[in-house]
Amino acid sequence: MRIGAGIFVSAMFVWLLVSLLITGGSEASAGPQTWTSSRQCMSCHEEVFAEWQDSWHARSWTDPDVRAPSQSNNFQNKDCIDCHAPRPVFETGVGNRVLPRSSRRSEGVDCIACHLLPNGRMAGTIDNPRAACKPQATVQLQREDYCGVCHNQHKTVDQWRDTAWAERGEGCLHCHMPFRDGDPNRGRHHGMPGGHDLELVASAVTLTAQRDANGVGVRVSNVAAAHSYPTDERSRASDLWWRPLAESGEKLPWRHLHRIRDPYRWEVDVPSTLLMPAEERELRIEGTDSEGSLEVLLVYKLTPFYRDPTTGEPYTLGQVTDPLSDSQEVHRVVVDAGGERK
Amino acid sequence: MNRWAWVTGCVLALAGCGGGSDPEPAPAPELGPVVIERLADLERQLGTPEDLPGLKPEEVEEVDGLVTMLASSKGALREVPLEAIREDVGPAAIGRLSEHLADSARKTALRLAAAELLGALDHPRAAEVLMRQIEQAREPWMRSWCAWYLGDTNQDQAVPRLLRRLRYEKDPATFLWLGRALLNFHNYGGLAALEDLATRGEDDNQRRTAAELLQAAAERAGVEPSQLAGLWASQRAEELPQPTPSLRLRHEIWKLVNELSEAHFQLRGVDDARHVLSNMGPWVAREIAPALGDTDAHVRLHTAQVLERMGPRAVSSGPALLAALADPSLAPAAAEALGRVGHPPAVPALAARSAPGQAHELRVAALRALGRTGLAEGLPSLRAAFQPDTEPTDLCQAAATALVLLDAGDEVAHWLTQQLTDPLADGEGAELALETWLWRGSEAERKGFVAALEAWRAAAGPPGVIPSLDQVRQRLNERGQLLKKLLPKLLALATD
Repeated sequence: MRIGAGIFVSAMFVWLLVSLLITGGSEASAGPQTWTSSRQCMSCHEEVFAEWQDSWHARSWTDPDVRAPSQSNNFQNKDCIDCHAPRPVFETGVGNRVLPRSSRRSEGVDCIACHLLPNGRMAGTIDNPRAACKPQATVQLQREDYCGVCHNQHKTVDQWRDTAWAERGEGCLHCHMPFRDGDPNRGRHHGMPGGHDLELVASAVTLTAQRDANGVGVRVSNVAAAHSYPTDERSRASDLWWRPLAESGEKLPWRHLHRIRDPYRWEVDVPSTLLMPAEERELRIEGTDSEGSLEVLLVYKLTPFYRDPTTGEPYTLGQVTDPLSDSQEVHRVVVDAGGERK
Repeated sequence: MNRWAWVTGCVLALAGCGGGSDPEPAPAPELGPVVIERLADLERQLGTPEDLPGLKPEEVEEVDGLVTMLASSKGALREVPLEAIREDVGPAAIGRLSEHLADSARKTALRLAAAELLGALDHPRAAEVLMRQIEQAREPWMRSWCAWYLGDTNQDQAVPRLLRRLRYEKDPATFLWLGRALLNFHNYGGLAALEDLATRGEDDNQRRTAAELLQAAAERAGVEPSQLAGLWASQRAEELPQPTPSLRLRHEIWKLVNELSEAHFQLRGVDDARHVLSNMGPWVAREIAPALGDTDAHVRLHTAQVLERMGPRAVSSGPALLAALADPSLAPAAAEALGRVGHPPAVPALAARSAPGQAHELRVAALRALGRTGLAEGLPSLRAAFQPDTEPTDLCQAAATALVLLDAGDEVAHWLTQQLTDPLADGEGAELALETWLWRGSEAERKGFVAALEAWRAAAGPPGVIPSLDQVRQRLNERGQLLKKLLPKLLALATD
């Protein structure tokens, strides 16, 4: 009888102990046991979820530019999956290359990919094992190497390391994940603006043009990006175009002046012309056509090729007459015949 | 309290905490440093590369003379410098010939003669010089000619780099000669490029030459040219003439497998390695399957991806992939690969992995794989998993897409149509599945499907135009509305 009671009491005690160790308490066990979708985060983190849902991280799988035949071709090119639907960063480790996942791909770079820890808890800014997702304060979330698991595939983080921003300790989050309304108490915005945010792009570079004795000098400067402009291999490009302004007001065709882009791996005939941090580059417009008034245009492209807007047929740069039909205007300057910039 | 009572109590309590029986029927294979060991073994067999002797001044003159002679000779006379470089000077000439080749100030004829002499030497160092030109020369004609001369050698270690170059080459004429070189080494990874050139080449000459190369390859294989690509992509790929890989080629293959490792951060090299390995012949599937047991998780997963991309040509790796299902970190990729290679014994194993209780990631991969096998034995598991009221959406979508591939799309067409207009669903994934369903129905000449597919396709924008997000939403919505109207009729016709 005493032995039976001993077994019962011991069993109950160990069960209680093990239960507490495994679940961290009954409140924690109310949360989901497995994480199968970032939608599971929505009910508690409504604001963050809405910001993320409207971000290009959330669209990394559905972005039409990424799904285009010349890019991933609806992800038939499976090389793109590694970063566009990655397994949790903490599973492969900060600083290591991510691996592709099989499930919930349409959620792209989602809550789980960035926050799920190997122990089943969620990386965050606070520790709370009793909350449903058991957040665990994880300082690595703020490290540049953390973003670098995908973005340093384009050497973006390496480019940043040699800049004044790095010296000041201003990393990726400074520009791409600022505090909501500038208030640290409001947490960081999960919209993560980047190349799709034209305002941010325009703030990174300046465009000036000045007439001199030999023609017009056009200067494009990377003044505020802590990495190259643009910072992506192959997919991004920025072009400078110019055209004389006819006195009659007739719109003359644009002429290509300069392309800022990195070649795609083995593109032996394409030079790398990325505009590095703090770099200023001067291009010249000379000849008879440069003597009168002219305008210069800097555009940004999410895909490197210009295409006919109605048929999709690719153009060579020489065939483009209206660059803005397939790009976004970043800056435009006008230089009159007397040399004054408008 | 009795000591044994404590122990028994602990055992009972811990047993009570268990979640059920072990879902894995077999233990995970033991891991080891497979890649490092293979590389070391091959390097030991290859030995230290020999130092090439230098040329005396008079020999430099001789080599220059042979270059000039070959450039200016025609017919049988050309054999004289070619024989002299092979028999008299030998590999010592490689350095000097390399200088001729790389010097863009020299006449084209002299540079091409140097390339031909390098090819005639049929030496690994000479192949390296030619390969570097194929990869780096700005002039397309130089890349083309070097591919031609390299293709006439026995230096099969060049095959992986030829495949990589083919991936990035933009000059159609160079495609042609890269494809020829690969065919000479019994690699068919350039077939698609040659077939494209044979039908859509820039001029008659290009089209004719591509067709002739395909014809010659087909004759060697004893099949029609139109059968080559199908055979290469099938489990019967070994019916094509097969290479006897040299130690150097095997070494290159394992160097590529090593590129997949965690130590290599940049995906560029990983992507190239995946691409090249998956375009190699069936022998490579056998060669690299042991890498599924490497200690490096990145190597294991990417090796499974390579086998998946190889598809049915990698059928020999089926047993190794099946064993890899017991490795939790590798299981989803192994499952997806099993679906593509078409290993029939995999169906029960995949079905078991698709059941509740398995990891979500593995279940989704297993369901997708069951569809890709094309084997109807997978249907019960897919139907069991398709539970939209209780299972996660992505799992249902994987099951639904697989059901479409197994000709059971009628059962899920209504649900997939709903996904098109649900802002939180994978609309594009549902769209692809529904297009496949309509296309298969159309091919099977089911009533109403031809017209439905036409209407569906009419809702797409012009091919090549990249739509905006709003245009995508509009397209999904239009197609959703279209199918809502058509579905009752299409499904009713199916039951008539």
